[in-house]
Amino acid sequence: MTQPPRSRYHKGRRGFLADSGAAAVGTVLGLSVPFARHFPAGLVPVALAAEGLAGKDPGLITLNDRPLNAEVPAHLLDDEITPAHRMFVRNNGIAPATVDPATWTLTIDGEAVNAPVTLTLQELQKRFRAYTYQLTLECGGNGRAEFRPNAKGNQWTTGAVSSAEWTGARLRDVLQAAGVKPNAKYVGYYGADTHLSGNKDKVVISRGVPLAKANQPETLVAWAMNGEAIPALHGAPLRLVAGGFPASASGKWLTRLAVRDRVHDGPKMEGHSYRVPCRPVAPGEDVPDEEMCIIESMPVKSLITFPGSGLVHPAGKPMSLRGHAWAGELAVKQVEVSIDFGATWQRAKLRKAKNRLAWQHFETRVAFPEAGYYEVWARATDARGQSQPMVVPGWNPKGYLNNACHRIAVRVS
Amino acid sequence: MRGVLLGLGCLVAFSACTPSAAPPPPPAVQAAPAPARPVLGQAPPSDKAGALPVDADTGLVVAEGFELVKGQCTVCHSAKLVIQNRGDEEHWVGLIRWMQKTQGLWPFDEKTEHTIVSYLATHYGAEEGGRRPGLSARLMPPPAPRPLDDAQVQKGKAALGPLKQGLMGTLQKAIQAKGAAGAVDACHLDAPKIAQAASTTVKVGRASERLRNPGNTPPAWAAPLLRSLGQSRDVPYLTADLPGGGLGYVEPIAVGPLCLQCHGTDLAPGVQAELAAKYPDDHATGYAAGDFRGVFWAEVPAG
Repeated sequence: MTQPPRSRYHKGRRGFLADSGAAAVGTVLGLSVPFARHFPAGLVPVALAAEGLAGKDPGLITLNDRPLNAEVPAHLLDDEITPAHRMFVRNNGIAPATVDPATWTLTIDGEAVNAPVTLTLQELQKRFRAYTYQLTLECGGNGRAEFRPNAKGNQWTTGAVSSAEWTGARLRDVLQAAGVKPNAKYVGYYGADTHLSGNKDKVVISRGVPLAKANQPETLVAWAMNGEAIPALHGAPLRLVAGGFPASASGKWLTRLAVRDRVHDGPKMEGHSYRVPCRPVAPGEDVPDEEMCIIESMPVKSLITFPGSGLVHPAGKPMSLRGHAWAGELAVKQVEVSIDFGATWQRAKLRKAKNRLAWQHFETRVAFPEAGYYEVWARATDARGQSQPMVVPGWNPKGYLNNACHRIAVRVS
Repeated sequence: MRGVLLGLGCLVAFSACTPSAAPPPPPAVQAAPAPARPVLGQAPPSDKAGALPVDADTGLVVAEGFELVKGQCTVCHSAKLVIQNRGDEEHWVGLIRWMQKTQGLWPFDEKTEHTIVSYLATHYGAEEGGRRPGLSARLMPPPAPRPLDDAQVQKGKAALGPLKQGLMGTLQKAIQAKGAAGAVDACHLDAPKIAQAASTTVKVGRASERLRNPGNTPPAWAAPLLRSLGQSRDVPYLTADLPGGGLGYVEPIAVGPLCLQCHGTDLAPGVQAELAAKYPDDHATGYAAGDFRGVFWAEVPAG
């Protein structure tokens, strides 16, 4: 195992406050930040604390720099297996400044284990057989930007999805180390990230998966991504990976797994977080907490990754295009494309997934009848016959699960 | 009064803050050059597009209430979180209440809150929209060109000649004399001069989306053409009207076999070292022969 690179992002900036008081903050920032004198010791203003995207493709679009959130334009998701430098970043808190794989431990506890146990990373790697799967991880809020009324939060357009190869032990094998009681219902994770406020006692996010998902062979406690140590931004050195579920179920910087005798109740499991109305609601409707249901399998979706939107294409030549399609826990059975806003559709060539929960690749050629402005739309259909809608699907308070058809714009001339 | 309130709020909210015991910081945190990276929401909001100035630090619209918003909101989170969102007064008050309830935001006096909320609802107000918004500007193709003046196109094309020959000549000479690593040095020193020297009444240059020389960002008019050419192998050139009159001309640069010594995947250690020294934020390696590298551009004046 190579050592994961130490984070280059936070060390210096967070250390800044170690030897400079609030007054110095005002000095460094000049007079451009009012009220600097009121900053409490230990709080680093965002201007000095922004996390970086060093090593990432320069085309990534930063939605928020504290916590760091960045999405990937569709044309940069063209790789069949998403490389680290083209993987979206969705952090809820501040990533750990440094991680030491040599001393990293994972604790398995909770009401529904026989005997809590703590294992080192090395013990995990030695004791359990390693499996590798390509697993599609999509943020529950991918596509949020299109909901009206506007939904609060990071305004993801299409680029909060990845499909990398993850290597690690099966979660179900690891849980057996502590012994799972018959009343087990859910597995919750805890990670080493810290809350934005700097309050070390505040858990940033602690979600997880129902026991049935935990027991699937592809649900991993992973220590490698694409054959290398997991990158710092993506959960080094240990990450829970549950493909097909909202990516927030795949806890980063994993330190603890709690086997619960109830639905896990960590931060961002409850309220409106990663939940949609159990029954359809009108746009803008108030929905009480108890009528919100946890998102599990993500819906069917596809992305045209070549060519990128906004190209000029010569008249009289067919245009080749390709992309990926995925459907949460299900397989995709068909992808079609349209150059006339859905009036007619043609089937694309669709390949089988490398393994369950990996995205599938499609390709086809389209011919434009004459010069002008076109949009090429793609529509995938899952194994149960559910297709992507062309309009934005049912509104929900937090703007999750927008799986409307992807489209690219082309000027033929 | 406000100061006292704020101070108290901070104490309550962040009493558990402890500075991390990390090593001392690099001396000039704020001087670190930001890589050229598109950031959503930095343009002024659509309802007032271009009408109001934008604060350079945060991207927030400078208008009544701006100082308060910058001072109160960007202490804990990025201004980008504000800028990318839209909503009416109720939406923004809801967010403030949520932050006060769960995120340790201090209480505001009535006047402060009113100023903040009006600023946000005015400049980052709710968006109207149907069942599917249109594609954003950055995903649209360049506008259809007017009927072209062929003489202007030829002028643009011809003006690129000296730039191409100058660059190629310098590179070949440097590679012969000093090897590929030496060529990095020559390019570093001479390329900007060559572009300048090749600019006559027609200004010329190079641009890429994966930059080596940070100076080679495209002129604004050329950015959509650069993006578009990167997606289609079959277009020999594109043109656009220049904002001040005249014709903008761009043509694609394909990676040739010679280029791979410094732009390919397997770089000699000497080249790697030279690149790291000269271009610490280099994004221009990993190419294969025939890949799209970027564009040559020319600005042909009217007449």
